[in-house]
Amino acid sequence: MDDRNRQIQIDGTLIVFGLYFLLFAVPAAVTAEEPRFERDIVPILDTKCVRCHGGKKRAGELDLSSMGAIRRGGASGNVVTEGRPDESLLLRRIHDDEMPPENEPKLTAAEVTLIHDWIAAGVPADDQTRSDSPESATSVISSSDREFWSFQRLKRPPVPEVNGLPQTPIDSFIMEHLQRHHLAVSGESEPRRLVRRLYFDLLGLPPTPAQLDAFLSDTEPNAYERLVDRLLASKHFGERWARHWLDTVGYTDTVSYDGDTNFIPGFIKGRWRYRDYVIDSLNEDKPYDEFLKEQIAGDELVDWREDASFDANVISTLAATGFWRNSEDRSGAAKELVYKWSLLHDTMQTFGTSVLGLTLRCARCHSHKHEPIPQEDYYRILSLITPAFNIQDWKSPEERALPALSAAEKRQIDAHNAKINKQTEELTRQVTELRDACRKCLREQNFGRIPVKVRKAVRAAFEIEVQARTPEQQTLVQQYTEQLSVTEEALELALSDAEKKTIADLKTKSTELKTRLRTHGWIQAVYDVGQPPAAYLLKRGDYTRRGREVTPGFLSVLAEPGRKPEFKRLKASSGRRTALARWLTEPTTPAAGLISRVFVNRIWQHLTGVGLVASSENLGMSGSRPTHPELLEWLAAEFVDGDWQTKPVIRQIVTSSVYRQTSRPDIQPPTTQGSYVNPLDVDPDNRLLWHSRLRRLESEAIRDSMLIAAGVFDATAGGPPVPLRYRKDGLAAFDVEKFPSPTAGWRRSVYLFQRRVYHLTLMTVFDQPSVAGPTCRRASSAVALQSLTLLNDDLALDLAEQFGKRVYQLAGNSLELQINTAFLLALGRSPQSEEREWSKQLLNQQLQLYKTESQSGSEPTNAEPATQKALMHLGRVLFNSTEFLYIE
Amino acid sequence: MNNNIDFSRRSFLEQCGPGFGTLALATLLKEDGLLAGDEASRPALSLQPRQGHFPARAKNVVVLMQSGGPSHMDLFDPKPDLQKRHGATVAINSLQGRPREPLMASPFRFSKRGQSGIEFSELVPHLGGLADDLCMIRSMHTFDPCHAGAPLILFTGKLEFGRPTLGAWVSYALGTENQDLPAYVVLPDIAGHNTAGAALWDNGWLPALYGGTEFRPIGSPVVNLRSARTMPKEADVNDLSLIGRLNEKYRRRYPRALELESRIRNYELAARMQIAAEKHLDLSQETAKTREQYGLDDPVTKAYATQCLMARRLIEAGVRFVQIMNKPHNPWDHHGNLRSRLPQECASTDRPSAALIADLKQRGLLDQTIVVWIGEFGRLPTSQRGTGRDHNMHAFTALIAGGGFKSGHIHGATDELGHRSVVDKVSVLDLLATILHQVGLDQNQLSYRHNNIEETLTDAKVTQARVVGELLSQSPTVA
Repeated sequence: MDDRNRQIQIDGTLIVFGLYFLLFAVPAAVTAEEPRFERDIVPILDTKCVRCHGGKKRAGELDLSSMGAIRRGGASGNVVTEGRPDESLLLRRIHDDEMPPENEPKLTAAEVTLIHDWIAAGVPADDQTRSDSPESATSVISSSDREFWSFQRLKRPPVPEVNGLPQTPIDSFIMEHLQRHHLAVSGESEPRRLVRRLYFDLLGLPPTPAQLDAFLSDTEPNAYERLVDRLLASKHFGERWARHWLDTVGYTDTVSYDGDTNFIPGFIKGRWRYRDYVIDSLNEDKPYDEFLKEQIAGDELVDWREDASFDANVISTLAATGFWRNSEDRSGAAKELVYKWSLLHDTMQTFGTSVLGLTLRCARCHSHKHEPIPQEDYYRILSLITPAFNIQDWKSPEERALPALSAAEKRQIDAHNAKINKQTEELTRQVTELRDACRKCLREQNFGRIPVKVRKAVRAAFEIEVQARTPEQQTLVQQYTEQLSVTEEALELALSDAEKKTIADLKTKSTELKTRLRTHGWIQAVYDVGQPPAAYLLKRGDYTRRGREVTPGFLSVLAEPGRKPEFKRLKASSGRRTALARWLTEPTTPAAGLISRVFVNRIWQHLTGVGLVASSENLGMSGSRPTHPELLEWLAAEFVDGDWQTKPVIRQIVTSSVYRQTSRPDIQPPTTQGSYVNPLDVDPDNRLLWHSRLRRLESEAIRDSMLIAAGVFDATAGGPPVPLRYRKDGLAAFDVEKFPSPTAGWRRSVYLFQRRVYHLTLMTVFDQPSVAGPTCRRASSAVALQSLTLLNDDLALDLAEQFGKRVYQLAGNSLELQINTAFLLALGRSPQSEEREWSKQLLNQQLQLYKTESQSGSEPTNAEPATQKALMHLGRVLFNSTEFLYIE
Repeated sequence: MNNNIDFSRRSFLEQCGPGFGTLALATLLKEDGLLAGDEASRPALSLQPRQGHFPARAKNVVVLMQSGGPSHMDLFDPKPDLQKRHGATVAINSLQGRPREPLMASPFRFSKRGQSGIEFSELVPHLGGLADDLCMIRSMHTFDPCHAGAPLILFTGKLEFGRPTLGAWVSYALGTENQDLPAYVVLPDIAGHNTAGAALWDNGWLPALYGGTEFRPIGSPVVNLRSARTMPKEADVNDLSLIGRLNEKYRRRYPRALELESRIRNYELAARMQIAAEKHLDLSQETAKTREQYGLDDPVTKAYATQCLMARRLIEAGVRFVQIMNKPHNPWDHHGNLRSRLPQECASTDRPSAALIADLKQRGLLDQTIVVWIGEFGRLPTSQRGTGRDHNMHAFTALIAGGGFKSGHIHGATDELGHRSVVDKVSVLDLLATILHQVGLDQNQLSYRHNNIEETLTDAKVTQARVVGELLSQSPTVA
């Protein structure tokens, strides 16, 4: 597999499966160095030795579970001799194959070498994490670690001076690199294509023909810049950009176990509030620092425990903490500790990847091998969320939900409902009373039909207590039960009209009363529960193997000398998450430097196809290096100095010449004079951005484009997700019966019920990811199932049909006009002459087929349905066209 | 790892090595005469067959998944001590039941079968008839006692959603012979998915190309293979023709964008798949004898027999990995009424399972095909509510046939009650490592970089998963 795992980074536009290749981003070279105790030696001892030589069990009185104990040795004396591996008992026993004993896993050659080198290096105690010094974590971080580019404070670089006429600072940064290689940016894209690109990038929707015309006929200066502003102000902007953020946090509408079709996750109350919070925040361009603060510690920002009433702000700030509720929480059905811990670790991973752009996962079990993240740091950060996810005071996913109103309001509602319930109970009682009276009367009549000689005995048998019945009486009861019973039908017949009316009135009144019952919504929030539990390092990440206690804190590599983490209790809350949010967002710190770089890099990725750091999920030492470090730095500085606002950064990028250049540069053949440089020779993968990249639309944008083209788009924003149902064969379909409105199936894809798996087929085949954690880069595959789906999927054909109807409505029976309209609606341009001819041919062929079909049947010949069917086919073809699926 | 980066296409291809530069779509292009010479070898993902890390002893894999946890003590692992101590109370904790339930003897008789004399329960006479062809592992164990978690570990190596399954890893590494069919086909039951559902054939973070494709046992085998609407056949052809023209025209706008080319070829591939899937799965061509052998016409066995026969057809057609999923609601999950329900489950699956193995053998395909009969865990020797048995992750039995595994062989043993595997234990991860080995793959070398972690199926460095050489007729290539 080595061949396949070579690290290759090539341009996303050139290859068939963008993500696949991007995964092989360039990593940092790992240099040979001496083994470190915590990072290299402890994992070996922990897995291979400590089970017998550590903790309570100390075979041969030897404890290998800490540095001090190792130095103390065992019954046979010292086990390590500094600098002399061959004299060290530890290594000799391993070499002689005495240890680990038979049937136990042996050390690998590499592991033996590590131990050898470590002893040879003098048994260095880099590790103090097993001593009791709180500062210990920092000692495994070298000063060169701290100097790594992404761990620095932001330092705004000067905009380079370049020849030519750069339009914007971004152009200068890009042109500087291009010019070094004798390259230049390409010319501007055709206006039509550029506008389409801009609409997709900012709104995730294509421009309508009218919107296109409006722009193309705008001859005033700065028409493009004004369009940018209009789009940034559109409510669809938030929907588009929320999708990106929701991907990075792994949003689903479910919080509990969600794995199969037989078990439709029922517990979804109010998850959507988090989705809407993200959309709204992006639309109002909430500064990123606030956006993070609310998500990390919204519950500590508002006084929800005491507030008399919840206003919209309280609800949305609480909903923001849904950020922490994205990992699959199986602790409801299954109470085992393992599920609680797995939720905590998953949540750490999501936090690390989405906000820090670092892989924290490795540090769960051992100090990170590729990043300067000591294991202790992992548990220090974990201890910031354990007051909320408190192992000692656990809440199941159901219990964790909060009513979307204050405790006082909840009490009011409960009191109000109790009153109504009491009234309706009384009404029900009255109905029962009336019916019982009648039933009693009928029963008496039934007694009257029993032969006189036994009547008295039967009555006595029924009236006596069950236990006291004699065997004879039991027989009588069995014998007469049926004869005496009063059926519902008999009862209905016996009721007088007046009684019936009274009962009907009582029932109506009760129904009416019940409509006045008040309900309330729910919020999937996070908040501290009980007292913060003590935090421990877990050996090998195993919750059954508690190590020493750790104190709450942050990433040591980003710590500023002399500054200690501060935590202040906030009423009923530990304040730890608030402290975390503050630590992340204080503008001049290394932490703020890191998170701003992570965020602007993703903006760049969404607008150009590839991040300035290609591994946008990882800006750490094991991630790729930036292609344009100064530009990334400058953008991050602009971002933070601009009050952490997203829209101005996007505006900067999309108004640059770099963004506006064509995706289809004219490449002239190189001349022999040598003055001309063929960009394909220098930068075939377009890493330097000498042209714009061709990009495939994401699954959501594909479906949304079809909705717009077909003219059925339902722009309703927010609220509970559009319900889906699941067929036994695992396919998802719309649950039309539960639709709140008939057109709910035509709403934007971001509003569809989001599960971990089982998306609509149309979405799955176009790489809507299975949600198992953060997704920072979508795959962009091209598989045969996509063709089959666009051709035959019910949803795709429904939309093609709607498209056909719409074209017919707009263009009537003129073939020319139909074709023109269809191309404009689907591709935003008129057909070229050969396309026009081909389309004519198709329409005529299909028209002929359907006319013949309807003639052969008994239906009267009617041009309209046949034409609409033919136009459906043109829609189907255009939806299947490559051009429809791509951003140029 | 080589950190020197060369961005020229030629060097890219050289680095990718054989099996990567050549690809299905390019082959199609070449066949169509559209491409000449070295242009055909372009980088893309591919299902073209390719070599593993060392010579393969088997080409294909069929997994017969028995969801629910079949009771090993009642089927494959007779326990005389358990029979003797029926009713005795022992300290065995169960998941759902009370902590101390009495031991429950198996109500079923065992007898020695074949030359090898391996004991089988009376409930599985057909599998018993293959005693000399099977490698029976009586010392299996796993790491989660639940229906959601244990199958995930069995197929993906970890208790995590969203990881690639064994079939996805194998397809990724080896491609497949038949380029008109997917490399990895899943045959779900008509009635629906089981717990953990589609996660058991997910590609995870491997490219989607390598995920399992579900073939349905009734109607059109692949979703959207044909439209559910009636439209004249010619109308379809007319549409495809215009799609081809438009896409070819658009492709010329971007001559260097290879994916535009593959989009065009995908329509041809889709058309071929329509034909191939229906051709290879047309069971009406099977002889009466074969139908009888599988139990295709018996209502009790019909559903499962259809899946088994489809599996043989797909293996014959050159599909790399076939996974049969049994019916929903975990049919082997006998918490109660084991005495009546276990025979029912056996009646519907025993004959077809055995028929598949015998049929593959008779056609000379068994040597190159690993057939695995396995559940996610076993059951406890104690009773649950007096009539059933609770989950047991510490012990269960798996059956393997073909693919270079020993035949007529029993591996490992459980304790005297069948509660825990004690002799020559095999974890589900060990089994995964061993299957990989047999198809020519090294569990550590078969890796994929995801979120900056070099991921493997078994994570052997941590889990200590190992190739179990004792199961194999030839000693393994690597330890």
